[in-house]
This record gives sequence, structure tokens and C-alpha cells, in this order.
Amino acid sequence: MAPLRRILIANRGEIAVRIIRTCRAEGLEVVVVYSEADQSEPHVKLADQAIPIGKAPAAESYLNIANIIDAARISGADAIHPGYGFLAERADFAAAVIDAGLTFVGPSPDVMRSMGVKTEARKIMEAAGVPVVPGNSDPLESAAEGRRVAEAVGLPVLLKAAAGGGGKGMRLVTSMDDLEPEFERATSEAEKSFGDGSVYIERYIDRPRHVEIQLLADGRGNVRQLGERECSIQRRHQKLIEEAPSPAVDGELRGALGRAACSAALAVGYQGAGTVEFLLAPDGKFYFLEMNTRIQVEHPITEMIFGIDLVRWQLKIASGQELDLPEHLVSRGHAIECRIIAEDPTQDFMPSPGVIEYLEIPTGPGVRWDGGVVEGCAVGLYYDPLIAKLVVWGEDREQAIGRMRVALDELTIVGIKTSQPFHRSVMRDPGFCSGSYHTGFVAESADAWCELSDADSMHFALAAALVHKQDSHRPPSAATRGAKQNLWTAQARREALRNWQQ
Amino acid sequence: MKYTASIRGKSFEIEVDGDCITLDGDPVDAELIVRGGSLYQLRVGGEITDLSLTRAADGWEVGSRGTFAVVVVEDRRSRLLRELGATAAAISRSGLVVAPMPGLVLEVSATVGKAVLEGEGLVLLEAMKMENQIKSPVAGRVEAVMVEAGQTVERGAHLATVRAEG
Repeated sequence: MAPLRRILIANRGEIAVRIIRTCRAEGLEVVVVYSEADQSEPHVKLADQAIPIGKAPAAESYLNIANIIDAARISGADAIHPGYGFLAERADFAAAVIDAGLTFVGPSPDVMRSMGVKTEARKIMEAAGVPVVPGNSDPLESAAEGRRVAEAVGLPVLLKAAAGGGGKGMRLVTSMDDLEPEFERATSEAEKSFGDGSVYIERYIDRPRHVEIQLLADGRGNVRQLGERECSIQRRHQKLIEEAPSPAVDGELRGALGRAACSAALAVGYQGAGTVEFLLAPDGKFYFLEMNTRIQVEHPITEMIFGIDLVRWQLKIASGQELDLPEHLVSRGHAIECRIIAEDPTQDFMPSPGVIEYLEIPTGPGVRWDGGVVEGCAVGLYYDPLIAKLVVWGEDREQAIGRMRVALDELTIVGIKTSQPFHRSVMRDPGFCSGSYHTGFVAESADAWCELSDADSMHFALAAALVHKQDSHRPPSAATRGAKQNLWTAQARREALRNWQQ
Repeated sequence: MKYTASIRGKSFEIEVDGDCITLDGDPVDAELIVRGGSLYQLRVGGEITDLSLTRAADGWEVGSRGTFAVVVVEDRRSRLLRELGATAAAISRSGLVVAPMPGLVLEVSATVGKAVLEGEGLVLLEAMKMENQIKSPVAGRVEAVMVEAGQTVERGAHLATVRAEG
């Protein structure tokens, strides 16, 4: 395989910016694609070449395989990096890239396909000796079969879509009487959402922790595991806060998880960066959940504790280089990531689209901001509401938490509501600070982030009274400017609300 | 200038007299600095905080470090008006229904002895080129009706009384 020269990034936002930085540092030329809505986005400006690929809706641009392959041909790119989301785990996209004579930065289409069908993934893991959640590994033929499996495995169970993943397409069954109607519902939902109505069963594990292992594999038999990430602070299966190492994992468990993950990678002939997700039960047992065949959103925390650039390794592996990393990598310190998303945590995480009027980014020792927005950026209408990841590193967990508190205090975003108050609250939560929490943490948290401190009450009241007095002397033009933004925001909010309510 | 600022059920009395500011009667060394757009800084003593201030439907939305809340600010005049409205509501609670504005009585649907629901129309009054249905403030029975269709009334004119029942 020849060394890569010019790479096209089929993505946008923070991950596109992050990949661009490594590519350019490696001396590669960078081509990006952008939709009509993204002309002024940071990733467009940072690339060497930017090619428009269609209208704002993702289906017409970032999910448009033909347009992206065309863009690669026009620009003379020799490789495509898919980032995460969009087409990153689409085997048909990977195949199209390869058919066009380009290098796809990721594993083979076959591996993507088998890991994408969760029943296939289970079978492969079982054969490789990786523990899986008690359940079945073939699409259920009928509700009657489902009953038999549920009886064998024990209630409660989850009915899961074989073509699903990322927390989508799951239904909880707590009593046998519900099994048949839930099976019907799960099948039709799976058909509608994923185009494949296949459903299987896994036992429901109560109060689990979500722990995942980062892998690098070069497709030549060399696999390295780069420790675990704890991702249990999630809301409706969407991660909000991640940390590495996991406070729940000791050396022995780390070894066992790592060995299981490496077995998984070798079993499928994995190539590239990948992640094996596990559920850690309260009794200390762990089970394979799914394998993600791409770089993950939360990869920076692994990078911070190992002093490594995972995207750089993706590029090296894609260009055919051998994975010459030591067998036993030792991490140093502790890292935490807070996802800054354009949702209002005080309104049940309702989407908060709008224009960023003002942005002040925290920095300092151990503080990393992976962001895809600048002032003037319109957020949250067409794409994912993730605007940035705030990541900190400390010599120990305590210092990391302290630094994250400071960074979250320094962060100023005006124009939209974000998850910032949620993160500020969690960084002071005794449960989180003790390290003792599970995936039910957010649901059980009584919305502590909605509270207003006495100091804030007083300051806000004072400020409002003072501005009220000033405002009575202000010319009307200032008010009109505000009104224009509100029209835009109102329309965007209507769209986003429609999606959120589904 | 005296203000009442209400935020999440709490009330603060703020008086601004040139550079002298008091909060609930105590002097406070405070200053609001304009940074541009909706960005401000509030200085209280030696502490400076970045804030965003934007007009909300009924007040100001204030934000700091991602936390937002709406503050309703009333000066003396708007507070008096609000309290007057409360007085009118108090009168209506006693069962006496009065004309809220001068107008022409178009239709009287209240009759003595009629049982009415809370919010049910009693008198149709034309005022400011619009028809206004004057409603019963309570559920009960009409005790007296003082006007008839075709009559013009002044603001505050007695229209009917309703005795609360049930």
C-alpha cells in the first residue's frame, strides 16, 4: 500500500476539524465536503480544498455516497476518512470507496457488515470465547420462540433490533404476557427504523455500567488494547460524560476486558481503530454489547491518558504500516470528557437551535476543546446537536474533576442553551465524585441541574433591574436585531421539536 | 427609581438612584457593564460575572455559565397597575359584576334566578368596536340584573350580581 497523500474527510463539525488537524500535522493534503448550510463552518475554512456536495439535509449531502465519491474524484484524493456517524459504519459506503480505487480509513466492508448485524456479532463473539449477555443469537422466528428464550434466560428481557445499535430499537419486557405484543411492536419499529425487522433477545441487566475498550489493529495480526472508557453518564442511551480509566475497573478486570476485546478483534480480522462495548453488571461480570467499527466521539480521553493520537494511528494503519506499539501500554493520570450539546437540560434536553452570538473557550493546563463551532455559527437545525467536547486531564481523578469544574465555569456560550449546567451539576454530584454510579444515574438524579443558587438569584435580579433601567433609554434598533434572530430560532425550534418528540 | 425583581418565586426590592443602588434596603456596590449584543458584565463589589440578558415575553432572560432564568422587573407604575387589576378581581369575587370599560350593552343573557357556571357569559358589551362577553366570576345563581340591551354604561357600572353556590 502506498503512503497516503491527499485525504477527503466525509464529515463535518468537531470531528472533521479534529481529523483535519492530525492529517495536516502529518503533511497530508486535506479535502472536505460541505452542504449548503455549512459554507461558513470551521471545517471548510481549515481544509486545503472544500467541495460542495448538496443541500442542507444530511440525506442530500453528508449521506449522499455518489456525491462524496464524485468529490473525491474531482479533488484527486486517494483516501476517505468517514469520521463517526453519517456513513462511518455503512458497509456499502466503504465498498463504494474501495470500488472507486480509494483507501477507506476503517475496517473492511465485510467486518462492518458483520458487526452491524447484532446477531452476527454475537455469534462471532461467542465463538471467540467473549462473554455475551444471556439471550439468543439468531433473529427470532416468532413470539413463541421469544417466549421460550425469555423463559430460559429469565425475565426481564430486552427485545433488540438486529440492525439497531447505539441504544436504539430496544423494548423492555417485564412480564410474559407482554412478550407477544412487544415482539410485534419491536418488529414493526425495527422494520421502520432500520429496514430490517429482525429481533433477538438479551437478558436485561439492571444498574449496569457501560465500559468500552479502545482497540488498534493493523490487519496483520497485531492488536493492541488501549484501556477502557467509562460511559455510564447517559440519557436515553446517549452519552453525556465519559472518563478514563473507569473508577469501577481494577487491574485484573482491565486485563480480562482487554483480552476479551483483543479476541474479538482477531476473530473478525479487524483493521483500524475500533471499540468493543461491554456491560459491567453489579456482580462484576461483564458481557459483550456491541463493536463499533470507527473512531468514537469520546476517543480524546484515551488519547489524553496514553499520550497518543488515535487518528494518526488510523492513517498509519490505512496506509499499510505495522502497528509498532508496545504490548503493554501503561496509562498515566485521569481524563474526563463533557459533551457540550445544543439541548436544554432544564427542559428535558429539548433541542435548542440558534446562532452562537458569543463563545469563550476554556483553556489552561490539561484542558482540551474539540469544537466545531465559532461565533456566528448556526447550530442544531440539520445535524447532530454536539457542538464541542470539553476534555480535561489530571494526574488523578480528583485533579481532573477540579480542572473540569474550573473549565466549565470559564466556558461562556451566548445565543443557545447547552448541556453546560448539567455538567456543572454532575461535577459536584457526590455520586459522580465518589465514582460509584451506573447507567441509571441521569434518570435517578432528580434534575439537580435545574436549581438556581441564591447567589445567582440575587445577581440575576440585580442585573435585570439595572438593564431594565438602561433599556428605557435605548434606541429601538437593538430590539429589532433581537427580533430577527427570534424568527429564525422559532422556525428551527419547530423543526427540532418535531424530531425530538418522535 | 424603585423596582421589584421577581425570579422563581423570590422577590427583590431594588432601588437605583444615580450611582446609589440598594437591594432590599441594603446599599450594594454594583454596576452593569455593556459588552455588546446580549453580553453584559455585572460587578458586585469586587466580583465580576459575565451575563447574557435578552428580552423574554414577560421580562428578561438572564444567563450565566449556561444557567438561565427569567426575571420580571416591575417599576412602581406597572406594579400599581397590576395591583389595581388584583383589586378588580377581588371585587368580582364578591359576586358583583361591573363593566370593565365604557360601552353599549348589546345583549343580556343573565336573568334573575338563572344558574350559571364560572366563566359563563352574562352581558354582551360592545366597546372599542369589539364585542366583549362579560363573564360570571363564580359558579352560582344570578341574584340581580341592573342593565338592559340598548343601554350605554360607564366604566365600573354595575351589571349584575351572582351569588356563589356549590
